Amino acid sequence: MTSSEEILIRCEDVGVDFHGRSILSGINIQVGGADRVALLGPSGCGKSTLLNVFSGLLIPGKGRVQRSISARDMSFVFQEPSLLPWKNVEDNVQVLLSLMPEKAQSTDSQQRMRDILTQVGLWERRKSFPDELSGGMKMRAAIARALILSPRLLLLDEPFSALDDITREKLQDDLLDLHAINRVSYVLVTHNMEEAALLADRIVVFSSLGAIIAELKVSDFFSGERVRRDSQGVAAVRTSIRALWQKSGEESLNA
Amino acid sequence: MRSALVVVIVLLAWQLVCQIFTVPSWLLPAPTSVVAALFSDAPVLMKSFYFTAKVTAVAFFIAILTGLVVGFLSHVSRGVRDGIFPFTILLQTTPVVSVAPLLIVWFRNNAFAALVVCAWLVCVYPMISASYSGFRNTDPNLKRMFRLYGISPWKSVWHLEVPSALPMILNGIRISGGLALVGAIGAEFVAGTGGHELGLAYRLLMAAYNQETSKLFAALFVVSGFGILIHFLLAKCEKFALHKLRFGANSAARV
Repeated sequence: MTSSEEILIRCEDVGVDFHGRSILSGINIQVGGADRVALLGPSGCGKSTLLNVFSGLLIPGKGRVQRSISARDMSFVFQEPSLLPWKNVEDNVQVLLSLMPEKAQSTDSQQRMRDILTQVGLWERRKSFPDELSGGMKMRAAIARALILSPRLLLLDEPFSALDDITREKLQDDLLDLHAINRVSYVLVTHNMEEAALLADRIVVFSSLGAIIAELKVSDFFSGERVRRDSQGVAAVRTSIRALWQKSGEESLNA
Repeated sequence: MRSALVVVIVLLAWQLVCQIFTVPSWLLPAPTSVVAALFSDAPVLMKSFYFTAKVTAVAFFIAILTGLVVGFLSHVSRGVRDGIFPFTILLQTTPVVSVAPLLIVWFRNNAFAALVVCAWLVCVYPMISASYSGFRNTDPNLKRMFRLYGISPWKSVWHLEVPSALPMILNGIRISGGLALVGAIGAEFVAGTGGHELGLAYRLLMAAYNQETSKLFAALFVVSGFGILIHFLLAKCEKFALHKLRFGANSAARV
């Protein structure tokens, strides 16, 4: 179930064990071009592990992973901005690009830098260092660093969970805008049901044992445009996910 | 400024106590007597200072090099880390005075080398520990990104791990610098100097044997002054480098 014909990543019966403990089991999932997928589940259910499997940084012990894109067509955004304190915004954004000459030559990097920093609202602050930026600006710089590499798939590992409500909502909107402009697919790891309902087209619901319980199509819950709070659609998604967890014996999440 | 004022007050009080209570000079010489001894002994003290400074500097630089190499190798290789671990415990727990006689036997004809090894034994552990912890301090998310994009391990080390490790390495250098002097003086006490050149510890011992307490204080003043100078210079270098790297004033404590 993807939004386009092209499949970027397909996992078939993937399982990951760590020190004899099962982290993921029986994972069947695929991500297509321009897809927006949320991996939703309790902490420790293996969502971030699955991102590592997608990227190829982790080879699963069981199952098969097929990719039509290379690792260099993917990019990560983490829970922490993970910026280099000794580099300014511009240098942080292009640090990976500068170490990959073949990527730098393939695009007009200066123009692209300007475009992306403008998109994330940091062009005026491009000479600022991380210690001069707010938490939201740092996260925007991290998103810009991911986008400058022209990824076809963004792997977002709870990027907004450490931010305050106002900044989080602003960055969530920014992500939707970036998707509208760049049409880049993303997989978002979250344990926030509202965030999943607002940012994804598909929500993959995990059990605490690292198995997929269900895959929800978000458009089924919304009659019109998705809006943030007090939306019946968000409430319906929340109710549906809670019912799924209850059915599978999971404790409900405070999300 | 405040500490300078405290020093002046202490010296004045010391002078007054010696004069009012006519304290015998072999027990506690007045600061003026110490200053007089400092000037009268200046040529021999300078020669001894040069010798001790040479031992301290050589041991310190060897400790920096070995600390960086061992710390880095322990970071990249678990085998090296496990193999070296018992020796680092030995370095921490074995008093240098108990090793000195063995070094005298081994370096029979080279007292300078024996002293350098003794001083090195005292100051190398903080350097190993600091550089190992520093390299371990690298942001794991950025390491994942570098790995994802196939950036070579050496580029990762140079562009990511070395700058990330610098705050802790500089902290280790500062601690190690002070300990190098402690090790050099301690080594001279135990091992002597082979009769060729005479360090500051020898001046301390001779002044004590001859009950020339003013000269003892004068030598002690040079030792303490040298220790303070080492600490001050290294602390300034550390602060300057951290400021340049924008790690912030408290980064050493933070990491």
